[in-house]
Amino acid sequence: MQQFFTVFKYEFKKIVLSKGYLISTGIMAIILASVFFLPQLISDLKLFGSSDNTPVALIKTDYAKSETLVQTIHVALPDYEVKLTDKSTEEAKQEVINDKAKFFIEANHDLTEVTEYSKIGFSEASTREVQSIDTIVKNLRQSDLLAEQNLTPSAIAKVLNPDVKINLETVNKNGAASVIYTFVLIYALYMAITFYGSHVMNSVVTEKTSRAMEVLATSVKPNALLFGKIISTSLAGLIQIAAIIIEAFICVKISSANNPDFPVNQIISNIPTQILVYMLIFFLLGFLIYSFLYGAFASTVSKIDELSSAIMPVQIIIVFTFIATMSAINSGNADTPFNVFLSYFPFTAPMMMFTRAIISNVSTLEIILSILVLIVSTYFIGWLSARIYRVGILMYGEKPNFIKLMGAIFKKQ
Amino acid sequence: MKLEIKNLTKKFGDKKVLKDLSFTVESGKAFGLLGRNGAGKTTTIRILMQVFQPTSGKVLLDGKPIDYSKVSLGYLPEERGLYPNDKIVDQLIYLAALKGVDKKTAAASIDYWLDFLQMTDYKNAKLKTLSKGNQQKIQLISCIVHNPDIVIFDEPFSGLDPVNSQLLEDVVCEQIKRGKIVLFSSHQMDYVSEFCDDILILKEGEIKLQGNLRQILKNHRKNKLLVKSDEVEKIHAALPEQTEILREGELVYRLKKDEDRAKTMSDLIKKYPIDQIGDLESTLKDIFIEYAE
Repeated sequence: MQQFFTVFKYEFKKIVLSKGYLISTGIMAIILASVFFLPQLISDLKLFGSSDNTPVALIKTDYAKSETLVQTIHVALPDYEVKLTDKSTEEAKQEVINDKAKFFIEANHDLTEVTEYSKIGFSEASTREVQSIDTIVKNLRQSDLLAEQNLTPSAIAKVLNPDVKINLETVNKNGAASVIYTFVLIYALYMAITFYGSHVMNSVVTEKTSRAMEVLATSVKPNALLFGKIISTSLAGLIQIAAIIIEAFICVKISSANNPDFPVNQIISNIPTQILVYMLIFFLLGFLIYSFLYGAFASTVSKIDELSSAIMPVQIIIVFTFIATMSAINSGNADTPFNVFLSYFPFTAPMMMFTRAIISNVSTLEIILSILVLIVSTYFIGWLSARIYRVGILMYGEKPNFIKLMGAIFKKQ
Repeated sequence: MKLEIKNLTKKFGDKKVLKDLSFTVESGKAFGLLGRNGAGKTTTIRILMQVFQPTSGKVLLDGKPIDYSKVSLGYLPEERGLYPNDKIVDQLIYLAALKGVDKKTAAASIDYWLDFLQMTDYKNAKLKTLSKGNQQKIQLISCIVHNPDIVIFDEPFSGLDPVNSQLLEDVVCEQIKRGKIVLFSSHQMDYVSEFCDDILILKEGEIKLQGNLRQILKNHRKNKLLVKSDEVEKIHAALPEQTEILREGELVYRLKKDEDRAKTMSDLIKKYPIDQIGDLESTLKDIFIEYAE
């Protein structure tokens, strides 16, 4: 036990003081803060900037109610300065070319022919503007056509705005926002498992290829070495995830006070606490199960260039899990028999059960059952990996094949 | 203290890599464990270090099964390497801690050995920034930093320049002087001859020769005399059948089957201007080749 704590302390200190850990934590913190505060900062800076930054929309038309057209466009595109112009078509186009106007609209007297001019790919790039103008022009035309039928303005308004009430209600557990944060959380879980799993793998391979293992194998029990390494790495990972979660909540608090309608605040506030607790549990179990595999497979490698082929089976499982999980989110149905099976299968359970916990109506009992399955399988995989590791660390030369390796680990040493 | 290896046998699958190996080493003495690559030296060391369990046989200390919680071992492996990216002092403290040494004691010991090996300037450097020879010295410190009772040196002199070799010789001598049990495995027979009192030659896991080194050398005395003289050509011309010039000023005289060694020596001294005459002893290298090949 003493040796386990010695290894744990040394490895933990090494990882949390490593440049990679500090830089990745810093970058994640900056990205997270940027998500909250950068849009606000940019718009604040705009306020202080000159009015030259306001985009201009030029309109040239013989339409009788040109003022109405201008006002309606301005209502639809409030960030634009909408101006009527009597310049020639060519001159107005020149304004767009010279960036004096963002776009220029030429409409005939009854709005039956409208042309929009913009610099590069305006129609593809600015669908908001195109759609707004499209709707406005069509509405005005409809209104004019209806007026020609001698309908009263109120009758026209009634026709154009029929009193149909359309209600939208999301029936899954946490509403629409859950899909967005499910993607983010699953991706974060996948990244954390692979990032920390690779750390364990590299640590084992470095000890083996640098031959430090020759000394270590005679100084410390292999189990203490493997478990000390993996548990210290998982603690470092948990600290990093917890730090990011805490930062996110602080950002929500600050940002909500300044900008309550900011969508990211609403999405994060929508994440139930139990989901974050599940995330920590599934990260821990997922990380442990994969780290044991990474550690065991890496221990069979003598040279660093053999590593990628040695850990290929683990990579395939983890990528498959990620794809299966993403498909479940995309399809919106995480409860297919296959997905249910994956949510109890040890290697896929951390991500699949976590996904189902967010987007589906899984009972707490089912989640606990999946966690129990994971705990038992983590114990078993840990035991098996420790056996592989014990044999692997002293194997040099040709990489053993699976059958040879299994034979060696169950042989009495 | 007396370390006894008794009837050690080790099988890997059906392959027997050690066959009934027994030897004894006492405190303040060095024991040479010799053999070609693959003879079973490293397996013996690993059993001693508890990496492997023997198939049969025992490791005893002062007649009782060795209690690893009470005795400490230091090991300098043949394949060297520590953590290339870690600071030297950090990893030495870590390795000492794995042997149960507290930080303060380890730090004092590290300072002593860094100074002894003229490495104090590199205390806070990363291992990978050091030359190969200096990295070996750090590895040596990792082997003795916890003041072990039993020290195992596996090819300690490989890759060292003469100055570093001398420093390492001083360390080995110091360990012997401190009353440690020293186990020495090397292919450099000069060093083995210099340090070891007893040796053992292994071949395919089996003992081929074992005993006191001086006695072994004496027993393997050749039936030849080594003659040193300024006139070796003259002696060779007079006794062409029985002599052979070894190098300038040195000549080998082959004794006939029943020839009296003492009488022949005295006759030669009387007849020729001889500076020195004596038995031509086998070297450990000759003996090693004879038994290990």
